[in-house]
Amino acid sequence: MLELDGLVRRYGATTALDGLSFDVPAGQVFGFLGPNGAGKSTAMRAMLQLTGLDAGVVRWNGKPYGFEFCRQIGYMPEERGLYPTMRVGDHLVYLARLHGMGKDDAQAAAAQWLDRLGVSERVGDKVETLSLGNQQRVQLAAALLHDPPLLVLDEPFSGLDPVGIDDLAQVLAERAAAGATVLFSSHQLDLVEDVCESVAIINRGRCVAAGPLRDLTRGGQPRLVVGVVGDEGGAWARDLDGVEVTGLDRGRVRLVLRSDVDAQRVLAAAMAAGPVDHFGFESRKLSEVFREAVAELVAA
Amino acid sequence: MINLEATRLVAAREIREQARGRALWISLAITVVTVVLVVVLPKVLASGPPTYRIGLTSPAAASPSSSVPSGADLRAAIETAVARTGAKAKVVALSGRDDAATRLRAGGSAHIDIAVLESGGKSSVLVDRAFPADSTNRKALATESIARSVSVVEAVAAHHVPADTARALTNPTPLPIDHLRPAPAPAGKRGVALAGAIVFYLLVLRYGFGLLMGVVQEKATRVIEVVLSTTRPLELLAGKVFGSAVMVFAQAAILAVTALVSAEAVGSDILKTSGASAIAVAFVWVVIGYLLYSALFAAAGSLASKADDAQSVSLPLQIPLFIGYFASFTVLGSGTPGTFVKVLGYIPFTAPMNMPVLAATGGAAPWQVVLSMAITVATIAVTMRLAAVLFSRSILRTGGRLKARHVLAEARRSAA
Repeated sequence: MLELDGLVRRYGATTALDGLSFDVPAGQVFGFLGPNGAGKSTAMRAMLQLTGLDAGVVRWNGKPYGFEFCRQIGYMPEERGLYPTMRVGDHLVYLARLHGMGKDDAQAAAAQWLDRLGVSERVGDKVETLSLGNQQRVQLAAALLHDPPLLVLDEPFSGLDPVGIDDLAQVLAERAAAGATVLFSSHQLDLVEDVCESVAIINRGRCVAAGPLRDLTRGGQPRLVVGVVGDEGGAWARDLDGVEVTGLDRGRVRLVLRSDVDAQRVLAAAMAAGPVDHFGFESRKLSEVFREAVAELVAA
Repeated sequence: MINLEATRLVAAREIREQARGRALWISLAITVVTVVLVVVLPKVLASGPPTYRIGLTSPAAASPSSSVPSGADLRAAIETAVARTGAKAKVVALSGRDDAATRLRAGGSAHIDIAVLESGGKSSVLVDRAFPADSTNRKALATESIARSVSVVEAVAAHHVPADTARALTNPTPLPIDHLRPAPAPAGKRGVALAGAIVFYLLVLRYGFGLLMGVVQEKATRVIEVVLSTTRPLELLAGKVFGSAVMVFAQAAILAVTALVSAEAVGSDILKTSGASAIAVAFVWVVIGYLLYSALFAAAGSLASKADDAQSVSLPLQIPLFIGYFASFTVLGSGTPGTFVKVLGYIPFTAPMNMPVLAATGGAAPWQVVLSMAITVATIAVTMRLAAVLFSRSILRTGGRLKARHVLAEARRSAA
């Protein structure tokens, strides 16, 4: 498990991290969220000890760690860190060997990951000749090839096509299933919802929400999705007291109920309007959780 | 504690990526060809001293007491006279003035350049075309010298001076020549010193700047974050400096060997005038001079945040390089080293260019060269530490150009 405990990092008058604390459980894919400038990249650099801290400590399995553990972390910075003129295969072997792998193992791992990520035919090409998406795959291979116990990936999904996104999501799930701790940052909240078990949301250098997704998206006012045949606009629901129509989705209407409104009364109103072909409770979207969490701090 | 394996991996990458580039091999080929031409051309183009064919009509056999010089005496006088002008003489027999006139204007093997017509102690000298007044042409000088010498020999003979005395009078032992200051060093040695300074300047500028740009690129692409998550800043710095130093030393060694081998092949004067040791000393200066500059170039790169900053962060390193480079030329022109160059010869950042030139022009004794080298080596220990502090503290900082002064002040504060 990775623990961030009270991290503070100031750059002159700017406070990038302001007592940031949260835990990343082992064996999970963990989403690290926050608006631009919230301090995500600084926090990730602190995990790699690439930036000093004014206060706080990062622990791995309960203990603060040093450079030797950092060498084992699989890291992918936000701005893709590769030597543009180096050949793909040489580059991966070089980084693997800096991680402490032997030459033969490094070559085998590079070949295996390039193959797994679908860029094995580019092994002899210079990095700069690859498309951005393919450079990203090489970058991911670089983070993965030494079989790290902890993966720290800054925006790994941005720039990937849907196939690439599926591949990467599968790889991350596999790594987590194998026991690794996988943390990545992203602004693609729907994707995070699909891929992650837990998230932390930070804003202005502080953690504003953290925990398993199912806990975060539960709670709040009840939500319903109701389909009434013949009333695709949801006119039947618009005059109900304590019920707000928040959207239409392929002939179904999304409703948010005031907490004292009985869902059975809503179902009765729907049946009165016509045959009901769908009626179900829905949890909150992560994007709503995110907006609320970020807005609370702004309001506070 | 430094992980030597990481340093070795970084150095190996630097060397491999440099050696992959075509630019390296093209510039090396051009430099090697230039060195060969500089060594070989003067030897190939230099024509030896000219040989003049001098015609001489034979005098009647003379007795020792004769008032007319013998043919042998005349021949000797002519050869000595021509030799004094830096040329050689081949004396051939003429049958008379008509023969002389014909052969002066003839081509091929019959041709003669100058004719001496013996006429019973009153010889005359004949050439085809008269020389312009005040001519400094070598043939004119040789002709003038022959005319004087033959006249002296005939005058001595006319006074019945005994043959041995006559020879001593007409071909005296020169007076010893003393001097106030020693002769300047041979041109070959000075040339080697200047060539060493030029090669040093070019190598440091090219590879120092290459090192700097490499660091700037690593910072700009953020590959530095990936590398430094596996390698300590000092290991990275040491690997980069070591890798580029290997490239520089290998090239300097190739150039030095090229110079020595081509000089040996054509029997160049460079080897005779202790130029060989000058080449070896120039190589040593490249080695210690590059160690002095390279870590600082890498540290300067860590202060930059984008390629545009490269010029401004490297300016403090380029200035001493320029000064040392141009100073090394002036000293060859005037021949005597001025105080300015003598001072530069001991300043570590200019010494690698100016001390060899100073030594080659007699401005510094060997012990002074060793002293200057010792000062430079001691300074390397200081600059390496300075570079290490700057590099470790700046390499991960982005967002703008950093000032060395501020970074060092910060380092002092955090050490206190």
